[in-house]
Amino acid sequence: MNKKYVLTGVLLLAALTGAVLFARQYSRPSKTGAQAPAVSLKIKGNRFAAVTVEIFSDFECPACRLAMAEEAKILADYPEKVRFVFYHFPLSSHRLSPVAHQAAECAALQGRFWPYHDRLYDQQETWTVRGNPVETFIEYARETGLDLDRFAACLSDPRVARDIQNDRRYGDALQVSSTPTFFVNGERFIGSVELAKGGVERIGKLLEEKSVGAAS
Amino acid sequence: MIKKISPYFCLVARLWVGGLFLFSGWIKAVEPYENFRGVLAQYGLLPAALTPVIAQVVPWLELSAGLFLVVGYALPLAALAAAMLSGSFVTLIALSFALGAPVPLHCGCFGSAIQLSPVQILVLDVLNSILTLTLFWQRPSFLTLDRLFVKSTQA
Repeated sequence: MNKKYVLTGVLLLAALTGAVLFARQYSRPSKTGAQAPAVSLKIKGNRFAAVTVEIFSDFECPACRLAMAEEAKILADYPEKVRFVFYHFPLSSHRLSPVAHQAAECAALQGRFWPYHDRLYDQQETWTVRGNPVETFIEYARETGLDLDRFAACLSDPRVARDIQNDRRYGDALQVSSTPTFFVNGERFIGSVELAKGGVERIGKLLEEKSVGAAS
Repeated sequence: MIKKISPYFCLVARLWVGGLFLFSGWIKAVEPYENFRGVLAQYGLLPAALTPVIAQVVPWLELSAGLFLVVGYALPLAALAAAMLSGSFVTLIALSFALGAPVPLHCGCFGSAIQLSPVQILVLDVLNSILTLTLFWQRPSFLTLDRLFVKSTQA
C-alpha cells in the first residue's frame, strides 16, 4: 500500500475528528449558559436536600409514566435527602402534550402540581386516546381539589404557556433529546433503567461524600 | 461471476448510505454521549456493562465508514464496516422482537434530530445492509478516491 494512500486516510480521519471536536465546543450543554426558571413550583422532597434530581418529562410519554415508580422508590429510600424538580419537556411528536402540560402548570399555580401530575400519568392511557381531553383535564382538576374557575381560565393563559416553553428551552440548552431525562446534581441519566442503576448509585455516592465531608 | 451493476446506481447507493452514516454518527458524536447510552440501556438484550462502550464507539465507526463511503476511500473496507453496523442493528432489533425483549419507543439512531421507531429503523437498516453488501461485492470505482490512487500508481 502506498504511503500517500495511507496518509490520505489519516488526514480524512483527522479532519473528521477536528470537525466533531469543533462542533462539540459550540454545542456542549452548559449549566452556566442554560437559564433554569428562577422559581419552580414543581419541587418534591426536602427543598434544602443536598441532592437534586431534575426531571425533564412529557405527560404523553409512556416511559415517563413508568419512571414514576423509580422516582417514588428513591424518595422512599432517601427521605429528606433528595429533592425532585420537574421541568416540562413536551415533545413535538405528542399532539396532546401542550394542553396536558398547560393543565399541570395550572395545577402548580394552585399548589397542587404533584397530585395532578400523578393523575395525568395514572390516567395516561385514558386521556391520550381522546380527541379533545380538556373536559377530562377539568374533571381531574375537580378530583384534585382545584378552583375550577381559575383552572379553566388558566388553561388558555399565554403566560402559562410561556413558562412551559421556558422549561422546554432550559432542557434544549442542556441538549435533552428524549424523555424522561434526569440530572442528578448535574449528571445526566436517561430513562428509568439508567436512573435505577447509575442514578441511584450517584445519589448514594453524593450522600456518602457529604457525610464524610461533614464528619471531617 | 458477479453481474456488474450500473456505476451510477453504485454512486447513489454510496452517497445514500454514506450520507446517512455521516449524519447519524455526527448527531450522536456531537450530542452528549449519555443521550445515546440512555437509548441503548432501554434495549433489554444489551448487557448494561457494554452500553457505555457501544455509545462511545459506534458514532465514530459510523462517521468513519460514512465519510469513506462518500469520498470512496478504502471502499470495500468501508462498505463491509457499514454492512456490519447495519447488520448488527438489524440483529438487535429483530432478536428483541422475536424474544419479546424491551425496545425503546425511538431507536436513538439519529439523536434528537429525527426520531424513528424500531420498526422504521429495521426497514432502513435492512435496505442499508443490502446496499452496502452490494457495494462490497461490486467494488465500484466511479468517482472514488480509490480510483485516483490506482490511476496515479499506474501513471
